Amino acid sequence: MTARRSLGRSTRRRGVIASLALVVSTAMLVSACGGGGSGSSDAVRLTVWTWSNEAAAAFKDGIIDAFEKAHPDIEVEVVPQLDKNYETLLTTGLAGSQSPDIVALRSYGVLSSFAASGNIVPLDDVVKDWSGFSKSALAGAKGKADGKLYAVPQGIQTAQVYYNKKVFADLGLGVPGSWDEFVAAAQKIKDSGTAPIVIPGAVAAQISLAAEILGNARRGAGDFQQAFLGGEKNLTDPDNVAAIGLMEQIKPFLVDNVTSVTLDEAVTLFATGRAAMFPSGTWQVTTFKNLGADIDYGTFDVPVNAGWPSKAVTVSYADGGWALAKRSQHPDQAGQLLNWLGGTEFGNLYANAMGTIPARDGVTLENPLLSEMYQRYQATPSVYLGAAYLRYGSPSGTDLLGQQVQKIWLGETTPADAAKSVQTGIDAWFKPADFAKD
Amino acid sequence: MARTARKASGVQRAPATAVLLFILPAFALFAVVLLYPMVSALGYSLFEWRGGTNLVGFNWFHNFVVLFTEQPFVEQMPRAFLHNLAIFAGTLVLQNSIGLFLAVQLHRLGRIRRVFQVLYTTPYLVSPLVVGYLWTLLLSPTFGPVNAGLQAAGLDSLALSWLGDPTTALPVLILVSVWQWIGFPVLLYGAALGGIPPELNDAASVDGATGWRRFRRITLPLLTPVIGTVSILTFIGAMETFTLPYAFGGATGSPAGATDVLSLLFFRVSFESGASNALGVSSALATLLFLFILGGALLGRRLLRAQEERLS
Repeated sequence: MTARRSLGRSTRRRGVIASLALVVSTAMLVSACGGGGSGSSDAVRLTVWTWSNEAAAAFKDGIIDAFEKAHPDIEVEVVPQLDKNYETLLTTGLAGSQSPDIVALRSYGVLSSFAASGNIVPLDDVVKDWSGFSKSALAGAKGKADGKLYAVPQGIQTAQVYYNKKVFADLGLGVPGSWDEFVAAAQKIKDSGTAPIVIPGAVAAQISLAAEILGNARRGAGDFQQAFLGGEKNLTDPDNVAAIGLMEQIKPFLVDNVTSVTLDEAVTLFATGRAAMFPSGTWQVTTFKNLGADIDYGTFDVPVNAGWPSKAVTVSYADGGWALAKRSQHPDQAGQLLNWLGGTEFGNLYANAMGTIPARDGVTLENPLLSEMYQRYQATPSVYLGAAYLRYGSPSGTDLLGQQVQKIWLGETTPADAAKSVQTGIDAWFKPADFAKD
Repeated sequence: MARTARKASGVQRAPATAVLLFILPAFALFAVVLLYPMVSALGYSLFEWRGGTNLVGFNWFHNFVVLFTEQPFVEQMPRAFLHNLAIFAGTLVLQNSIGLFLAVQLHRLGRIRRVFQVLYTTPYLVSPLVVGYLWTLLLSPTFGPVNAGLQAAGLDSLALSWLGDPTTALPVLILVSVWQWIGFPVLLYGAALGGIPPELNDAASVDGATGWRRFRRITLPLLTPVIGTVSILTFIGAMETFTLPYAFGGATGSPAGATDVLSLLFFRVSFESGASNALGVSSALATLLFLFILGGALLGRRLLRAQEERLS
């Protein structure tokens, strides 16, 4: 009885305290709004568009909070536009009255095309400090026509060979130190009954990626790129033919029926240990993790032989950037956000949340495999020529190369003819002079 | 005849304005929903564009000229077009013959034929994208049950790289397409067979006509309109086909362009290329495709009508 009474009293007392608290807090809120005018209800709201659901999730899961804490007068909303035709959607969105403030854009040609449309603005003077970004990351953010920077680089994709550590160890193989050793290792793996190399040979873009991983250094890496973009060399150059020839050379070591292998199948073959090596991009680290694959793997850059025009390199390309919409209602605040997106705090948060390689230096990656790729990338980056420059016209250079390599594997063409065919294809639209400013 | 009809109805003819008023809502809807998108595509094809939808200027038929004079179109358009034609020819022959055969067989069954009609029509209800994906899995030489079964039966030489070999990829595409759509001709032929009065066959039997002769002289001529309809629809479907080739070979028509079709070419130019004038050139391609399909369908319709008149 007494217990109940005391309970009733304490409840009543709690009620009094609660209403008091309510009055006080309301008063504080009113005074805050009336006084400073910097309360949350007056904060400027920025809208950011991205094609990636994962990116939007990462932003909601801490990145936005970090920014808003430092910039209390700005609210950020990240909207994933999960349309297959993100660029089409963007074209309409950026032209309309309800334009987003900042948009994620794919690098190189896509970005360049939006820059040409005038719906995004140059950031050279908006972002204060570009020094942390590598030259190759910035190349992906430039408008082709005026050479100005139109985006804050978002991330880098590197491409390398994934290898099954157990298969290698069982056969007494180490990471190969030269191309010849690479081929010898493949032979040894083949003799042991495992398929040495898997490439998603049904998908042109994936074949092109693999060809780049294997052949970038053989072609001459950065030197070839310069000569190519300067118009001094083209794809029929003997070094490029030799680079495509490497795809013919590995034919005996590929999984059976390689031209019917899809990306999923390639991932499965590698993750289940049925194929020992898999040339592919950074993103496979996340794929293998999500698969829950019980596999001990490492990565290496394709080694070179003595006498090749370049040392071993990390094939990489800029993977998108943040651009400022011309019709943004709040360009000043959007500029603040862009400066923050270009900084190390964001670099750390984003790269670790997304499992990607950051586009700038000074970032610490938690995942040791990604950290290795990041270090190799910083030491010896070389641009994936196809993804950076040959994909933004019709026909796409990477599609053409993929198809030609399929033909090589099917015995229908030679590396020299393949190189010529790709060059003829891109001649329709690719003008080296357009890139002289890089 | 026509004149008298008009005169007779003229007594109660509604005033022209009223007629127009009644037509107007439907026409407005038609204009906005159908006419405008079609005409705008034609319009787009006559302009040059830069970076998405920024208009540069009117350039007459230059986009069409590009299609016939420049890479990749001079190489890829004829190849894709031939593949479309091959798909049309293959589907036409297989769908009409198998479809008709099945429909005739089912027609002889009693009520139970409904069950089979439903069964044959089921794949028709599944999206071609799903069908394509499922068959990719089934036909995979690495993981698929088809080759596993062939190998288990000792038929290793038949366990081919179905979708990885240019010589088999297109035929497989045609077969899967027929597999998916076969229910449609079966239903149409079934309905048409049901509409043929049994007296005709009975009378012919009394006159001593054999089964084949009755089919050849009575059933087949009476089915001509339906065969024509199925053929024209097959033509339209084959020329527009996109989903199944995309599911099988991706946007590039893998392997090595062996399953490339016009819609994939359109897709690559318009959605994937990022080319500056993608809108203009792809609209030109779309316009050509539309005109060809329209022309083909009209021609087919005319041939069909001539055939019907000859028979009647």
